[in-house]
Amino acid sequence: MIRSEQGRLTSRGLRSLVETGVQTGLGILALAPFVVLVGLVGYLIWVSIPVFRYMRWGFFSHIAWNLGNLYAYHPVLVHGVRVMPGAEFGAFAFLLGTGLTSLMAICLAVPIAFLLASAASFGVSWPWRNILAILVEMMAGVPSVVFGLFGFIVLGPAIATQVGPWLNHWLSPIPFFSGPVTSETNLLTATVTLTLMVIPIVATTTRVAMARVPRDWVDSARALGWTEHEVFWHVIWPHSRAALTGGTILGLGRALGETMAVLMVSGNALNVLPKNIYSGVSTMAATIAGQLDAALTDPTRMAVHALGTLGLILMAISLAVNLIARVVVVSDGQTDHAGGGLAHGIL
Amino acid sequence: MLLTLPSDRGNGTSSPQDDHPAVIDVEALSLTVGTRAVLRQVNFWVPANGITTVVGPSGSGKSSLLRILNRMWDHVPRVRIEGHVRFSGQDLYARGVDVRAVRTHIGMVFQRPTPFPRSIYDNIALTLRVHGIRQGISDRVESVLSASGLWDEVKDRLLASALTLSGGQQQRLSIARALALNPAVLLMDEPQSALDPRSRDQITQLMLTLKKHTTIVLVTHHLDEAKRVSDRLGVMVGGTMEVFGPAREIFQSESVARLASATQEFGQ
Amino acid sequence: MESSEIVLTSHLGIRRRFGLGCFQAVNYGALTLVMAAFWAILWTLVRGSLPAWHWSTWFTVSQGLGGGLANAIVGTLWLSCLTLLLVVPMGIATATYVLIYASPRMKQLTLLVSDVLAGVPSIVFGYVGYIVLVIALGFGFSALAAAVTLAAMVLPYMVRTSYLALVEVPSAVREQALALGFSRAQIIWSIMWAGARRGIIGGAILSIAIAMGETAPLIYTASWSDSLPSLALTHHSVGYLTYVVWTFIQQPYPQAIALAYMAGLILVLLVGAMAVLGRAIRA
Ligand SMILES: Nc1ncnc2c1ncn2[C@@H]1O[C@H](COP(=O)(O)OP(=O)(O)OP(=O)(O)O)[C@@H](O)[C@H]1O
Ligand SMILES: [Mg+2]
Repeated sequence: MIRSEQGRLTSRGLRSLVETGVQTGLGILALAPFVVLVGLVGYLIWVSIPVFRYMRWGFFSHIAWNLGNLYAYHPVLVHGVRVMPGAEFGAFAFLLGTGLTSLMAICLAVPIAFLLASAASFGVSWPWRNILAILVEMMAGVPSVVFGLFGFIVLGPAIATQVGPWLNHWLSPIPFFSGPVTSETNLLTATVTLTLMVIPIVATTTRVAMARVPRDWVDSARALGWTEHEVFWHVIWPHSRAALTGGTILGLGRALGETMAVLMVSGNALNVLPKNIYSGVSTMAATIAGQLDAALTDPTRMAVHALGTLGLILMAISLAVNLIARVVVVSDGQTDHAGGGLAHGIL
Repeated sequence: MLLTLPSDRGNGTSSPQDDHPAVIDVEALSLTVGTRAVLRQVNFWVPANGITTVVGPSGSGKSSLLRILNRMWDHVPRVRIEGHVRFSGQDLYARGVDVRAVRTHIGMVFQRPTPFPRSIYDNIALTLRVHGIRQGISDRVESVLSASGLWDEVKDRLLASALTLSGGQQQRLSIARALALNPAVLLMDEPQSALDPRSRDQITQLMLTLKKHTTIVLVTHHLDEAKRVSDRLGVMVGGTMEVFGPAREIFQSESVARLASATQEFGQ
Repeated sequence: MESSEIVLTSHLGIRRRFGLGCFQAVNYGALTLVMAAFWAILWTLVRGSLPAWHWSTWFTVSQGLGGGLANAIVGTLWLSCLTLLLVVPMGIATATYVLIYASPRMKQLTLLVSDVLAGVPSIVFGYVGYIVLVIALGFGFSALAAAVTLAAMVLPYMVRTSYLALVEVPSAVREQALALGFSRAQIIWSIMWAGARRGIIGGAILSIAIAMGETAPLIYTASWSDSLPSLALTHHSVGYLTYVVWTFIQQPYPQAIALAYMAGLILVLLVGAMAVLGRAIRA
């Protein structure tokens, strides 16, 4: 109604045309996140269908990852899917590798990150706490290949020659901790490297929450004659507990999806399960990056699709983890950092 | 700015009158934060068992002065404090003085109520337990809650979260918590300004009761409030104590109007 | 009477003293640990890159596993510029649309989708980018395929930072302008975007810092090239710093290893500086 009235004046008409144009233009560009997400999920599901038709549940339970006889004359038809003879795509070892490296890294990282957050927000005196906060945030921004390099050059040799033998010596009664240390790139190196990468994320999330505890609360606790540790336990910690949980889940998300660092230090073991923490492993993310080249030689493309299925599962797990983190952190009232805002620790 | 007002400090001497022994005596105090002089050559003293009020425009250094008295500046970097602060004859900033000990004798209440996210009971009990007090906690909780006029309102729900209390109740709980350690002095930094008129009035009444056994140093923005409760009054302007003396004399003097205009937003 | 009983010294009992001691020890321990880890990483990079500290590293391109880093540095900057061109309009537009036009539910949904994207592992972008852009759309290994992949990856960061910047513009100002007869388009341009400029620029810098440090999305989209990137958007592979770190470090040649350290050092400093810059601008 109003619009038609305005339409009589040409300048008004032009103006409303611009209005509509701007709105439509912005609206189309605003579809970008949807397009990307739907595109990724849709495409991965599409490539996964033949993989699941071929492997059924075996995709999750089989250990062997084998492209089959690529020199065979003809692909064979199995369950209506063309594959090379003898091909087998079992993700169990990668699922286990991803789970083990991520969970162990989180277990190591969270206590350290908690201490760092406490130190950087409260526990050490000025100017150290500011320096610490900056250092932690800088570490969150270090590219993952650099962590990979550090793990490969420094941690790997140290683990192979010192830490591994030492652990083996003292912890050998525990099954998973005993065994010969034969290589520099193994489950332990991958775990420690991931730990270094996860610590800054958990620490930063928690530190921000701790630093946000209103000054009046800290002051009134101090005014009661409490010491720093009492103020911390009774005032700061209750206010930041949820952030530690949220940060932990965000850190887990990063550890699950980490590709390059793991590719460089995990040993990239195929077709075997780790016998102990000194064995090589591989994770889903690292396998996608590491095996894509080889998979391209499969004329049936099943190998490439199978890597896509790994990606789909990885994505599903990461999304679940990030959504949980979002719920936890949002319920704590920290909407700014909800979801992936801190997934890279850099924001 | 020179205001001619009655002051028992006369020509700048800092000795308190003999009939009122000073609990706190501040002499030639200067506070510098970074490069900024927040307080300059402040002299004042606090008599026992009364209310000493500090008024002044925003940013004049009232809170800063209060935080000097229980060494809250210890936690702020790049702070320089000069001059003397004596509490019952001992230098608060002397070597060997333990800030935790200072704060058990000099309590503080802030502008915003600061209930810890625990039960009403625990807010006070925890304060005591942290100090290693294990016996007679529930008696002490009851007595400080009664002293702060909260007991009748909360005695049936002591285990409810302190966050379920109203703003005024939360502030009285904060006062009760500060009283739990039986401090000789209570510092109150605008304890009523975040509250509704009724709660404000309750706190005023509470202060009048408390001052019988406790020395109170109050900072407020409300001149009429100050008039009702103060025994002694200090006026801070720009980091210095412009006027300090018995409250009645200052309020009776005709210069109050000038004082009010000089310090701008009084009486709002 | 009071003064005699007030003792201001040595107040803490043994238990509290012990608790405080432990707390401080542990906190300063954590401080030491982080400083040590940080210096270890930095020192490793500096020491390892010493053989590559001469001008030719910056001005020659790599040859096989030797030479310099010129192609990788220029390639990283080139990919970052293209990514920026793609992601900034999309990010700002999404944030603006969501804030001005979208219904509350649509707004929630868009921000949720954007946050969810931030959690997608970067190799997934790399995989899909390779299959879809490089092969299906026929871009070949190219700057365009790499930049689109990176843009998709950092889009959520751009959306989030733009949104936070735009929200900061007081809605009262917006309403005032509406009352003055501004059109919505004018409000967006001269009030929202102008007011949020700093935050948006800071967000763009942070997004690019993230993109620069990535490897996994690039391996199969940009591939690697020994020569300086050309202006061709498709069918010409591009070199970049993270690739050097990843592959050269695993080679047996000292010269290659020194270049890998050098690339790592440049990346840390570049990304670190941009993160600091971005945060300073946003603050
Ligand atoms: N932590 C601090 N660091 C630096 N400067 C400070 C700090 N705290 C206070 N100041 C400065 O000291 C001056 C006095 O502040 P103070 O809070 O004591 O004023 P006030 O009289 O209590 O004001 P109000 O009535 O608004 O509470 C102000 O100019 C303030 O900027
Ligand atoms: Mg104040």
